[in-house]
Amino acid sequence: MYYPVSALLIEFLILSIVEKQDSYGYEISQTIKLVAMIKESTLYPILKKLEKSGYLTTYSQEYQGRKRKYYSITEEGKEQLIMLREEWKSYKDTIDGIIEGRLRR
Amino acid sequence: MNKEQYLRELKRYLRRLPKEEYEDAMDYFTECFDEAGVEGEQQLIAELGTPKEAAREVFGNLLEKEVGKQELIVHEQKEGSLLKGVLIAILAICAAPIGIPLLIVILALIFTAICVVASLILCVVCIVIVGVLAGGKLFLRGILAIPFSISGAFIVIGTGVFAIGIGIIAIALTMLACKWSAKAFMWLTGKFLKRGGVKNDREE
Repeated sequence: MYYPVSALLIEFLILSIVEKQDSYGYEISQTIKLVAMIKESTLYPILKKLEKSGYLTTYSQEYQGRKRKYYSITEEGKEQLIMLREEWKSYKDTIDGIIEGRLRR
Repeated sequence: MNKEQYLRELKRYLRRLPKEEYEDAMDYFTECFDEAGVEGEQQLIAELGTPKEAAREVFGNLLEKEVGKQELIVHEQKEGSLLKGVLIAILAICAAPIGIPLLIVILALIFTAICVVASLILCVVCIVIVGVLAGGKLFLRGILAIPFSISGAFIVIGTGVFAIGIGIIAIALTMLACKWSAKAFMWLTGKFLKRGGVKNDREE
């Protein structure tokens, strides 16, 4: 992908992924890699930050004899997601407006 | 390098983090390797870079988070997390991509700065102790002097209370000074690392 994806946008993507279904670090990273060249080592602090902000909670589950850490969204996280979606929509509409020539000052 | 070697080396760098952060980070990276499996192992290592680079990324971003948190909870007075922030800042400097001579100079400077601040604090503590002791003595002396000379007694008592007051103000100022120097240190480290990290951001 040509355009950079900011850490803030990655937070948005993570919350959206986890809202649909609880997920674990590696699976989340594989989805995000569809759009951004992100390393696991960059993703980790972002997940940690979301957890400390109270938007995500974690739990462990057995998988083939080892532990997997699952992330799930909290009520606070859902509220944050509503805000992020609105912001994203207005951002996207403005960008579209400018590149399609509808929007001029 | 294989998975075991990589995790062992990563452990060496991350061990300097607070215990809980260290365990969390190691669990995360171990899980990544388990998920990638034998066939994805080399690709994952190529992506993460050297263990030192991966550790640097974790330190740098945890520091940023810590600074952000500090700004949020300035009013809540969390001494413990302030100390943790300073520790992470030092770790982040150690892991930064700079030459060893420069690193030694920076660490020496930090050490000097800490010494200067510590000796200043020691000075103030001495002043506080002297002020409170002398003040307390004068106060008692004044009370004992009441039968002989009322006005004289009040002058001595007043001077004693004044000295104690100076001591208490000095305590409050010292605590503020400690807090601000810790915060300034974290902020400077953040700035410094961000300047060094421009190249990294481009890559993403």
